[in-house]
Amino acid sequence: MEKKKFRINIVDIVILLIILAAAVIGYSFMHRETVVETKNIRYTIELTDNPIGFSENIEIGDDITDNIKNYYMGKVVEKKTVPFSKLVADKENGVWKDSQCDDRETVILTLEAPVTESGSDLKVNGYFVVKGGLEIAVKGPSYAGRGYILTVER
Amino acid sequence: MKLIDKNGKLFGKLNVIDLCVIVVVAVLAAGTVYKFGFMDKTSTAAAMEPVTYTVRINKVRNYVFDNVREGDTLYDKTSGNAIGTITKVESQTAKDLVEMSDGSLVMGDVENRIDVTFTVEADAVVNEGGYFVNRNYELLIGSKKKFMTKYFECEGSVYEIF
Repeated sequence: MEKKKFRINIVDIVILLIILAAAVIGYSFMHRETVVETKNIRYTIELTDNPIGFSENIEIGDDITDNIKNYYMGKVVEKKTVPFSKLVADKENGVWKDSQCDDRETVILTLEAPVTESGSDLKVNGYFVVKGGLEIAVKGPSYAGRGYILTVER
Repeated sequence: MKLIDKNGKLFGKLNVIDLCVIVVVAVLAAGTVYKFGFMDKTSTAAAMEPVTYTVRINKVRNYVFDNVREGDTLYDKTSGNAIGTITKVESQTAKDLVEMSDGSLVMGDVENRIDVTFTVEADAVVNEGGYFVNRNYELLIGSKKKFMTKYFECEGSVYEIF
C-alpha cells in the first residue's frame, strides 16, 4: 500500500491563518476588559393604593427587590406616607380632580443603591434599570407593592 | 487529460477542495471590496443638517423637573439610540377630555398634572421622505413613542419640527 506523504500546501496555510485570526478576534471580543465604576445613588419610589397601616411593615434598612425579575433595587433609607389620590372626572365642572382617598395610602420610599453607568442607563448592581417614570413591582421582607420610580438623584 | 484525476486533483494539479476554498475566499474578498468600495453610498453619504423638534409628554407630575434637565441626551427607548439633546423644558397645566353629565365632551384642566414640552436639537438627513435623525430615526409628528434619558422615561410624541 502506498504511503501518503504529509504535505502542507498554500491553501492549508490560508485556512489555518483564517481560523487563527477568527480565534484571536473571538477571544479578544469575549475577554474585553471593561472598567465599570460603581457609585451609590438615592432614588425615590412610590407604592400606591395600599391599605392604611401598610407602611408600618416597612423598616428603614429593608432590602427591596424587583418582584418580577428578582433584581436587587436598594436599601430603604427614608419613608414617608401620604394619602392615596386618583384622577377623577368632575362631570359638572369639566375638569379632572386629583381626589384623595382617606382609606388608602401611598408610601414614598427613598432607596440607596450601588449603580453602574452604562450609556443611557443607570443599573443597580448592573441589572435593575433606574429611571424616573418607570412602573415597578417591588417586594421587601414580607410585603409587596406596586407603583413608580419618582426621582433619581444625579 | 482527465478533468479530475484518480487523486481528486483538477487537471492533475489542484485539489478540488482547495479550489472551493480559494473560490470562497475570492468571493468574500470581492464582496468586501464591492460593499465598501463601489456600492452606492447615497444613503450613508447624505449630508446631515441640524434640526430642532419638540416632544410633548402629557399628564405627568412635577417630578419630571427633578429628572429632566437641559443638556440631557434624549434616547429612543425602543432602539436605545440617541436622538438629540434636550435644549429646553417647558410645561403647562395638563388638559384632557372630560365627558360631561349631558354626554358632551370638553377639554378640561387636570389637577396636579402638567403637559411637558421638550425642545430637542439633533442632526438629521432631510429629504422629500422626511426627517431622519442620525439617518435612521424618522421624526413623525403625532406618532406615540417611548423616549428616555439617563434618568427618566416616558411616552410621548413629536409635536413640531422646525
